[in-house]
Amino acid sequence: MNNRLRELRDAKSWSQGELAEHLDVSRQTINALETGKYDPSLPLAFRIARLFGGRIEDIFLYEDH
Amino acid sequence: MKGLFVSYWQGLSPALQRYYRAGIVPGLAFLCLAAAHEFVSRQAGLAMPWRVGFALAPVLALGWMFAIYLDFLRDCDELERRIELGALAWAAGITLNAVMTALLLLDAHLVNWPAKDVAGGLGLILLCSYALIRGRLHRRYA
Repeated sequence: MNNRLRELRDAKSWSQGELAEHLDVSRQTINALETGKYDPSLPLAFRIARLFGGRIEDIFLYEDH
Repeated sequence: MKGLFVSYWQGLSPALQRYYRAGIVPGLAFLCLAAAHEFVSRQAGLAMPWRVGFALAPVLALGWMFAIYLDFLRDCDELERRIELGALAWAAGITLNAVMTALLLLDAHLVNWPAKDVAGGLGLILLCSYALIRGRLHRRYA
């Protein structure tokens, strides 16, 4: 699954650490999400979507193989 | 050296920092009780209840440390929890295999290992496998 997390974070000029603080997760989690190594749980995906004022499907792009 | 420690500490997640801080007192308690176990529990002149108490006292501190680890599992974020549970599952599987191996070899009288060595070795396998798998999983998501 791809996502636009890095792009949205850059638009707010936040560091990974700052985004991690906003979402109450570790910086490692943000890095793993941005690099596509980890897909978030549904509650975290909702928190991310709400933080950036969008919908989950606007941020997380599911590719059907 | 101090700078290395500071940069390591700052790289840890808040939950992990809280866990390490909370683990200092029970860790020290374990060391003190283990030393007491070593020197007091074998004193033949001491009453039996005291000997048993000092012999088993380190288990209390270990239980305290485990309770703090469970608090950490509740406190950490979902990726950390996935890493911890993955490491615990691998360590449990590896140790269970080692237990069965030791049990089968002892049962077939193919080896004659002292029980204390077997228990210590299994504990070491559990801790080492947990640490190695945990480190590997952390690198995977780094």
